[in-house]
Amino acid sequence: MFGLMGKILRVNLTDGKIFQEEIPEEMAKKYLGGRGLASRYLFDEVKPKISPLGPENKLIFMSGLLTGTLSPSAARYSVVAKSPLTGIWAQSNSGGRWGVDLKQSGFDGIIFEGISEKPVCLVIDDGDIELRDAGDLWGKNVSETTEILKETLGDKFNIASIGMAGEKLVKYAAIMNDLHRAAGRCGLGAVMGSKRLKAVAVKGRKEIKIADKITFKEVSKKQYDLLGENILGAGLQGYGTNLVLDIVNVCGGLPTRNWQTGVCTYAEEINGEALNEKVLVEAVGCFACPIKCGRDTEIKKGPHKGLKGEGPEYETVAILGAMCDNSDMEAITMANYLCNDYGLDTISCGSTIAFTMECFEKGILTKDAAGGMEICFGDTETILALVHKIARREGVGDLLAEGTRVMAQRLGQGSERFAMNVKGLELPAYDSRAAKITGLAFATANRGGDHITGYVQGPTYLASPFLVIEESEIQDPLMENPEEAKVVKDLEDALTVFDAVGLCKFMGMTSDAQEITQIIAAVTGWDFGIEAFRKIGERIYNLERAFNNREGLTRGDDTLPKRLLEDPLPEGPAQGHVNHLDILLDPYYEFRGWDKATGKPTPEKLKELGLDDVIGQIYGGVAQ
Amino acid sequence: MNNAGSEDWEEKYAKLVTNRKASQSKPYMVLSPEWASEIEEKIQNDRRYQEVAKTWEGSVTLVFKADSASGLDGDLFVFMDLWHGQCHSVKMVPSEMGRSADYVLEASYDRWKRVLKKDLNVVREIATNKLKLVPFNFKKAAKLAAAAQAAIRLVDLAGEVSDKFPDDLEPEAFLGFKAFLQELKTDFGI
Repeated sequence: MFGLMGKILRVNLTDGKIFQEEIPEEMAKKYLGGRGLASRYLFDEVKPKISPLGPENKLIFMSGLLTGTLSPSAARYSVVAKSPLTGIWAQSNSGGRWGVDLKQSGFDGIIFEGISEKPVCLVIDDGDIELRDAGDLWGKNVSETTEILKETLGDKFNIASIGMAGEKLVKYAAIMNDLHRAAGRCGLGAVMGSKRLKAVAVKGRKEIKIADKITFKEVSKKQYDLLGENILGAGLQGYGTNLVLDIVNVCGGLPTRNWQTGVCTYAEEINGEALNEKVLVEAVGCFACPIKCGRDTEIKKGPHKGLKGEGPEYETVAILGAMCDNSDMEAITMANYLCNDYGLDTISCGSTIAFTMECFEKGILTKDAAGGMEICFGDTETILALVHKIARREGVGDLLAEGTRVMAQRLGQGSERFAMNVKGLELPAYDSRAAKITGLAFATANRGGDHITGYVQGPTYLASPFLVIEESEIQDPLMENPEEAKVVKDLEDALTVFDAVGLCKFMGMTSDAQEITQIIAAVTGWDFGIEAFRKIGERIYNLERAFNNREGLTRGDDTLPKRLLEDPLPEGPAQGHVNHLDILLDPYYEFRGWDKATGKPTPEKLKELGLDDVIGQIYGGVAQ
Repeated sequence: MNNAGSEDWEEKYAKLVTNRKASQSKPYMVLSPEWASEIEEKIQNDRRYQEVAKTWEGSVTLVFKADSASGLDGDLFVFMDLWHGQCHSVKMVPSEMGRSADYVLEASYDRWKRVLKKDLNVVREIATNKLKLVPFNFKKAAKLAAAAQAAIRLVDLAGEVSDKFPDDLEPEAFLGFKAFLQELKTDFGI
């Protein structure tokens, strides 16, 4: 097979048995790789209603079809499982180099099953596989784990691991690779911890074969050249993802004080320019990426002076910054380093802290209940202390480790109104009251409250159309236009393909579908055009939706927190605005071919996408 | 006469604009001095621009590159003196002055026309290198990217001023406009 290695590993952690399996080419043609293939395996092999932290859940690592081929910005891998935070389908996605190393070790993916009696680590050394005891690593954080494994195995190995947060089953624990890169969302680090799988160490130099090297080189070069002197690319390299902080803030959409307002008055203390001045060492990038939006950083002053790491990214700055009313870039950076080392999703962690701050402000969480802590907005020491407590499930950290949905259920007293999650997944830092169509994207993303599933923040906040879909312009971000629901659908489908091939979504702003399909065709040798691109994305997306429907998800779950639906923004360019999701949801379902009453893909839609086998499972009558 | 920026030049240019505004009817022809003056006024009075551009520092020149489709004889330069949300001036200028701006953004006349008419998205033009920073400077490019909302507002406002483009004129009127451009070249170096 070209592009893919054509093999996965199946590792049963209960009995220690390991098998290699071929990936049927027909399956690869329908689902590509990465998220697509992983979702198909998950749907087929994980029964509904199983416990996400029990032995029946499967944890699936899968590299993208283009990952490692030297296609620009194609370095990514996906991790797919049932989420302990949301109870539905989950994908985490990460960059760096680990996905490339997995593939070059001989395998496109690994399916972990069961639960190990003792902590273990999987080692793949250029095709040789071993499940090793990891008792000496258990209790250690990501940096120490990585250091020990590299000393033991050799420093050519690349490590994906969990820190203490995953071991403690924090519901938003992350899987970290390349030390600082996170497969962050949805708590798949807890799934890994529940299986007592501490790390996956990979090494290899196997060739990833390309069918048509001449065309591949031609199209890739065109993309590299475009990014060479590109203003957008320069912005990302110059400021990292924190480029968008000022842009979102001037639109009145930077969630501040747990979404109580969308205007941050101290943005210049934490924007891209500030990050560069205060903590940046240099820009770094993923494998084969000409953009280099990553930040190598060092804290240069204050109590944590001298500490180094990568990040923070925009979401981390906005959430551990403005959302917690924290203007201290050094403290934000330190919190970021802690989250990376413990293995915590910074979005969910920071959002949960901000939610807790508002609960404390309103007297819903008392000092007593917080173990004597005063959890106030803007208190940087408390933010850092809470990160430690969450990761270790100590004191009030044990409650926060459950996420905002569970916290609100337990605390009650109206806190549900401002528990800023959708389907249990905490929302990222773009206020949808300032860009209405983004509210639809939050409500309908398959993994829960998420921006990167269909990044319609691009066409709204950045006014940057995505070239990979035919029409992506949003006329007025402050209007709900039913026709524009199609943009969300199209972006979701297109960016699903990006996850399936391991491509960074920034490429969608500079490359069109024609170029992406040319690269896929050149790598694989398949007859692959724009129609296939669109169909496959839609197929994968509907399969994931079907997984969720099978878990009991209905139309009622496609909603937003009451704060967004009912509380107008108090100031800024979007003053007075709320989300009117009802205007957009029906048109979205129509564009999707989903039943408006139930929120399920219709049998006709499933047949059209070649998902006939799914129909019985979500419409009853056929056991899985 | 062409010592753009000199007191004499500025005085004569200002007089030209006053006279043209009195004699020409709105909407003014795109790439005329009176059109540039209208843009200046519009930006200076726009609260939204002031908000989104409050940290912007630096002059910007828009270079309309002549191409055979436009029928224009040479590149035209629109110089904008911008600082912290204020617009101090927008003028048609000679190339030396145009190219001395802090940021020089170049695209073909046809692409600028389509951007102003909103047939093309300015950010897409930037993302696909159809609208370029010349010469390319990494740091400046990054600052431009960070000021995306300000750039969008500027272009929106410029587009609102006029939809009258020289190459849409009847042949005789177009020749008349070209003759006027020739006068601008002789008198002002534009």
